Amino acid sequence: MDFNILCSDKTWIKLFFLLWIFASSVTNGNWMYLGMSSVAVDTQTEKCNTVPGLVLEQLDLCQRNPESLLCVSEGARQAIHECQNQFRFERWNCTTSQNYSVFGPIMTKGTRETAFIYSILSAGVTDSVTRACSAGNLTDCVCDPTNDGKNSVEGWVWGGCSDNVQYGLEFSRKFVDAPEVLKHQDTQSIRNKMNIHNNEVGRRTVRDMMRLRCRCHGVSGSCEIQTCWKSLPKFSTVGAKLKEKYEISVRIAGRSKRKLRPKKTKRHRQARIGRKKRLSKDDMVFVHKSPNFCTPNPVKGILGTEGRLCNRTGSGPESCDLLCCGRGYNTQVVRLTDRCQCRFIWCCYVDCKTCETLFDRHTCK
Amino acid sequence: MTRLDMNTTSTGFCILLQFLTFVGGIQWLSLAKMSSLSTIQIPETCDSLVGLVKRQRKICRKNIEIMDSVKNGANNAILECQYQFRNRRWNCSMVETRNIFGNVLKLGTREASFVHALSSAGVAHAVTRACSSGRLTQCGCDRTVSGPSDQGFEWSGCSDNIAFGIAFAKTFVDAREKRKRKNNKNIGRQLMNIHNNQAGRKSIENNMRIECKCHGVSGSCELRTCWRAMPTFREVGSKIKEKFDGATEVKLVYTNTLPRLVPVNPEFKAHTSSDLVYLVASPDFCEPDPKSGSLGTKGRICNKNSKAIDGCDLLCCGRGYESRKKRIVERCYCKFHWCCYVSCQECVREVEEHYCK
Repeated sequence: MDFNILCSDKTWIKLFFLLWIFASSVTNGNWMYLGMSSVAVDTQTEKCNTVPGLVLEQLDLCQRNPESLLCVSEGARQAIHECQNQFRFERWNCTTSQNYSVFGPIMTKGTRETAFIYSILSAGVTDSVTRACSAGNLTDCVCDPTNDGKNSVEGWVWGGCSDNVQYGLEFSRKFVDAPEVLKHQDTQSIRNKMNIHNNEVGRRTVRDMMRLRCRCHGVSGSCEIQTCWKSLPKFSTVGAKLKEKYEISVRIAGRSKRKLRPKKTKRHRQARIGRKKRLSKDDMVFVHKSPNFCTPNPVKGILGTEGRLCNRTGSGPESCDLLCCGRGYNTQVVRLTDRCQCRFIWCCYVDCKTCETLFDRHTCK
Repeated sequence: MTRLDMNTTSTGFCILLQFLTFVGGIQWLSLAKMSSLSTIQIPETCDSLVGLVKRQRKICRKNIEIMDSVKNGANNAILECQYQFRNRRWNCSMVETRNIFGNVLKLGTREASFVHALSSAGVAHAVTRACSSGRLTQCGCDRTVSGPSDQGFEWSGCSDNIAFGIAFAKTFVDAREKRKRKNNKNIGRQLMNIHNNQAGRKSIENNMRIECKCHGVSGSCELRTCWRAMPTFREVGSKIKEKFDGATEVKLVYTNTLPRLVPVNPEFKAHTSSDLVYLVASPDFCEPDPKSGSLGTKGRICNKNSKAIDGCDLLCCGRGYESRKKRIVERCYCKFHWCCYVSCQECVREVEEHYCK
């Protein structure tokens, strides 16, 4: 489903909804479930409360602005898709399950992977809401008016529709953070603080990657007048940036309740440098060490890497050596039939032969 | 069990013991444990060598001059195994029994297939090397490679006589598996060993290269002579390690009463004669288990930053690790003084080592 189809033309929106039969299991529900492709969202106000797992503040937002829920759904969907794209070569490949928990039991631990999920989903919602503003699909917001008509120092004019990322950020803060804020009031748990922090990391990444785009006007594009506007980055670049942050994410002390602090290692304590280290708002943070994701463990939601495609040569994470955790790999011969040696014959058709190529496909033992 | 000495136990028990372990270990590999100074020179020594079967003793008596190379080959194979597996949970560690790798090779695992291939290649490599260096009367350089080549150089010099090395390794190493059995209980394992032995030898043959030398005025290469040379044994080891990673799990089937090994999963690619095959999946080698020959990984040094099998996470099987600081004293800032000595200072470096719990 294309974003534009979902968010631009309301007549296209099929008003059907999965009426949740298992309303009792709503306790495990999670707004991220809106991102599962099997879910279609209705925009009728009275149906807001049938979406499982929304907290009061999210319901409130939904009722005030029913179209926004559609964008949340689209944002979550693109975030899950991008997560799977970024992790396609890793041992954990952003597996989703078909139940309300979306990512399964791995979300119960505060690992790097959980951190990545929270930040990319929050970034996804920011992105899709902002795009919807620019497309005029939300009644609440318009293009960013702050710089309208102003001249820049470099001589160009602010014009066109600058993406209103500020609105997207605010919306995401309200909607995405709501359940975590609520739980944090209840339990004062570091885990909820971690999630809120990572949500913000995702949003800041979108904001910091905003780019200026310009267009030339004048006789045959002579650029006598240039108008520029701020535009959102492609979401895949946001995903790549967040993946980088995932790689260098910081482990935080699991005990401190008020403030997030980097966990001091033995070496830090000995060198007394731990105290000076401050946590940046751009650092992705986690509490628990990740499991190795090598062997299946249904309780922990780990599928293991058996049967995963791997690269026999090379040394990246997709190499059989790393992906298969030393268990070795199996080889299959795959036959690929393709059209080849195509010729254009007058007039007018193309004549092709079918070629068969054989190649080896390696999967982990 | 295998540590019991032949002389001290009753003959009946010995025969039973032999029977139980006949396809298990590669007992002739214990040749490698002989002192490096002792050589095998008179045919009578063949009877006192530990771990040879009857047929191998016969070959030994007939080819006494080659036996030192066999010993070297066994030695190289063990060292190479330990090098290639240095980062794995089972690191090819030797134990003080006649089956020099303990019970690891008893089952037809991937590890067993690797050791069989490597040891057979070790013998072929060492014997060929001895042929080329002129230590043997039975063989010399490969004379079949001579004359002008299609690529414009002259075949000359001493080409490694790999055919002889392979033929000898085949007769000697495979002799264990060719013994007739009254029952066909272990036929699968015998076929597996024979296949892997051959695969090991093939990995030398398939990776032979051409080495050349230039002649003419100041190396102008007017005339180039080349010869066929074996890969180094390190390269052979790496090739067999690659085969180990992609080894095929097979099972025994009979077609017209002829036993054959076929892939367990018919969807997977059938193995070629240079691929390794195995019959049973390996244990995880995490905890010590005398039955499977696993020594466990407690106390092993691991790499804290690696995600692969040598990383602390996988090597220590999730038990965690402890770090110890180690002081290394090194000679440094060395200066040459006229004439003639070198004076150095001592530098102390601290390194952190991680050990599996």
